[in-house]
Amino acid sequence: MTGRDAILAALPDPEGTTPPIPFDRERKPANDPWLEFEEVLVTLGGKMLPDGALPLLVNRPGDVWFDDDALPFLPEGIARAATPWDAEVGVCLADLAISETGSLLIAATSGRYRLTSLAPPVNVVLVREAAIVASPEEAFARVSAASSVIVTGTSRTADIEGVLVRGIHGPRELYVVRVR
Amino acid sequence: MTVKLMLTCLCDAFYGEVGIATVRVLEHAGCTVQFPKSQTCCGQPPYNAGDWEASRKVAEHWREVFGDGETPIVTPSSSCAAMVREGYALLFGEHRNDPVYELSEFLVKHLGIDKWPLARSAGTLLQQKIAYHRSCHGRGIGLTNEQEVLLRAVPGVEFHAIEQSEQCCGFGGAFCVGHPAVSAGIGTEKLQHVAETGASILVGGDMGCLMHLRGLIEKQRLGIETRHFAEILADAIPAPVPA
Amino acid sequence: MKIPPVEEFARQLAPDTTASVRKATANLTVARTRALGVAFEDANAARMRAAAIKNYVLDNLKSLLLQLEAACQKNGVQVYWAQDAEAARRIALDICKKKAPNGGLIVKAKSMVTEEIHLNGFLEEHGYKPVETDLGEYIVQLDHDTPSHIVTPIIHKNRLQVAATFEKEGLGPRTDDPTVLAMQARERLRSYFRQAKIGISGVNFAIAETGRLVLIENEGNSRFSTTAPETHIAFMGIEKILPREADLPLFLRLLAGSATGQQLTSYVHLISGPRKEERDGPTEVHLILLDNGRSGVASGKYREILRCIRCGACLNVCPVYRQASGHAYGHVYSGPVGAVLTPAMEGVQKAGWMAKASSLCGACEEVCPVRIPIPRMLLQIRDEAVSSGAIQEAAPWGLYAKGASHGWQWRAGLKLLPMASRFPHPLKDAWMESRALPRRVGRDFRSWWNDRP
Repeated sequence: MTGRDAILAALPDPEGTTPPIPFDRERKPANDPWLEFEEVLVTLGGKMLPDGALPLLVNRPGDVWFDDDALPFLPEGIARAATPWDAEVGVCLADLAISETGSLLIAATSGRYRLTSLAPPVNVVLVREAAIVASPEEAFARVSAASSVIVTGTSRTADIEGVLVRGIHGPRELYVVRVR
Repeated sequence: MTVKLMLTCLCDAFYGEVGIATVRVLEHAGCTVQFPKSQTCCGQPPYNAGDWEASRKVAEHWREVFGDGETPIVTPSSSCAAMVREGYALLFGEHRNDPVYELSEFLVKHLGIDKWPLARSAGTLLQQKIAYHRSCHGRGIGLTNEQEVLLRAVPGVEFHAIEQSEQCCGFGGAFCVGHPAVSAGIGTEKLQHVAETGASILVGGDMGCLMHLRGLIEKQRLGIETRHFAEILADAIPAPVPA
Repeated sequence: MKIPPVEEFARQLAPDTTASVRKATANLTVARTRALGVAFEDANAARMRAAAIKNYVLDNLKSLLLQLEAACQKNGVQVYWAQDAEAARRIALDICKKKAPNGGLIVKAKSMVTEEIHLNGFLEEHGYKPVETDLGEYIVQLDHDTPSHIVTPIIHKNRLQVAATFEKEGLGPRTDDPTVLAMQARERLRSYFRQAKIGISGVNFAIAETGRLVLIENEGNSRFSTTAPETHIAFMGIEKILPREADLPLFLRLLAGSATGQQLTSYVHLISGPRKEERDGPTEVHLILLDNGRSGVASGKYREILRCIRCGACLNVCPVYRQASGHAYGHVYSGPVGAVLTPAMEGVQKAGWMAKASSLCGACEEVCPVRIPIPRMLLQIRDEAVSSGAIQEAAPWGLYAKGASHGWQWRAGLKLLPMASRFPHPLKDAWMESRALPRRVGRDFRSWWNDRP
């Protein structure tokens, strides 16, 4: 008998019950979702910047890594770092922002690098004006089938004496820029 | 209303004053109290220790003594009430819904009392600063703030909640002698939080907790008095007007 | 009288350690209450639903596992079934040998299930160098220690101890600044992420419907470990399933809120298999489903313990855990959940004693995000352990029961009580070590009652 057969044989037979309905959380949408997003993001160590700030953020020749679909929003002629590991700044385009939790949903869809939002210590996330939902529940209703990550603030640890340290393995700075 | 008093083994053995206070409180609330004299213990000590065979014997005796299933049974212990209501179901494999109530639960939830005493005394008020320990086994019978409501209503009582009030005192029945250092450590932390309030009286609703805490207090010479909430309520009952 | 292990451990614990554990657990308990209050209008309703969903999972584990297997395979994930720890370690080793026949570096994300099967030591014996990359787990590994908490592994250590370790390991000069210490670890581990060919992780939730593996974390090491190496090996206990993706928001909030007081962790990683249209990520993903006693638990009286989502809230609120720390339990899973899970999985004969290390205060059940009736199961384990002879009771309960089953015997016994306090007994010594003996206070109830007009 294989491990699979043995485990399955040891389990009780399915009772043919139906699953309880998913938990539905009532929540009034914010009047201004982007304002709410920004307020929460700040508490998580992130910052929103106007799109005018973008050229300044990426004004570090050879130190910027970006995904192809972020390129149209970047200054013309920008050079890409050799790898995401070598870059100081990583620029990616998020699929959704979540206002209630200040989160960003980034799917590893065609042509993107998972490391863009992870390896460089500074992460600049571009989000389209209209791509904002109220809650994680709404975001999950629209989540991509590709591998994805929901980013809620900077990387952090509190392992040493419960002291909060921002920026451990993932980015220590997180900037969100609304784009059209 | 007629009620039966379930005294608890600890009040029977050591803390008769708590039983007396419970009777006085119930009578002040308009109840006629009966005391079945052949009562002993609810069986919780061996139940918690894992000796369910021994516990069942005691529980069967409890059922013989109290088990008409109709007259409300009131006890000054959430722990003993929880034992009969929840513990017996596991012990016997069936739920029987014995009408057992912890004292504050009975006064607040069943008699609808939210002030104390029910008639004002003309005498001088005893000013007392009390720290209140919420006993854990209130969880087992769904107690929330019943004891607190009654204590806060008593004139002259300055009520102090203690920090980390969700934390146990460390008694735990047989646990306190099986793990004496852990138990005493938990209790000592609890007493530090009591001391922080500046109160000189520690009030609780279960003599198990208070017996253990009192033992620590005496050994450490902390000079804190321990009292059951029924005693505070009984003290506030106005003396009968001489005829 | 034999001193129980938790008591024995607590007795030799340094005051520093107790202080660290007490402070951290108290803070986490407060943070949990606040976070769940923000997340849910009725946190209790949320927890009841979560419990119901996990019950459904346990009822239907067989069909959900088959559904998960099929969905994972469709996603390109290779699925393995391991009946016990040994089988799981062997499966992992076979994969490692194929990908890196000459041994080498393996980066590991924090995972309790790999602790459970003692994977690291096994891989080291076979020429591999598994490196824990969660900051706390890394420190534990450098110190040849074990995690003392399922969420915050070095809750028992302070910054000075960490600094001494880092200095000794050449990570950087000694400092008492946690930020600098974190950066020292970051530099070293980053080079490991870049070199390693194999990454190993656990799984927080696996979605039967879509085959998606969900990992949550705050540091980013989990993302690195499952993104940078060419091969990702994920381990999961068979009970970690959720039926649908729509169940995730509830569980993500409950887990983050209960574990660390967050609304969501910094990262929620949804893994849909190996690299597809994206340009990086592993080219192979392997999922090892581990039973190791769980299927037996699923059909027994302790089955509800398998609802556990490993948030650690019951450890944080447990008075015994706070006093004794996680190492006192001597097993991977400590605290209230460990005191049920371990005997449930390994047998009451071997681990039933763990259930005695509890005051039965009920705080664990009160904070549990899936409302596991831990106190009830602790009692049932005690019953099973005592009646099977796995643990010996020091108190003469048979005698007590005899006396307490007859009114007249009881009353006679009460009269003898003051005399009894003069006789020696180990339990009396245990009581008196830190407490004065109880004595009669004020009037005797029965005399008062009998004398009433």
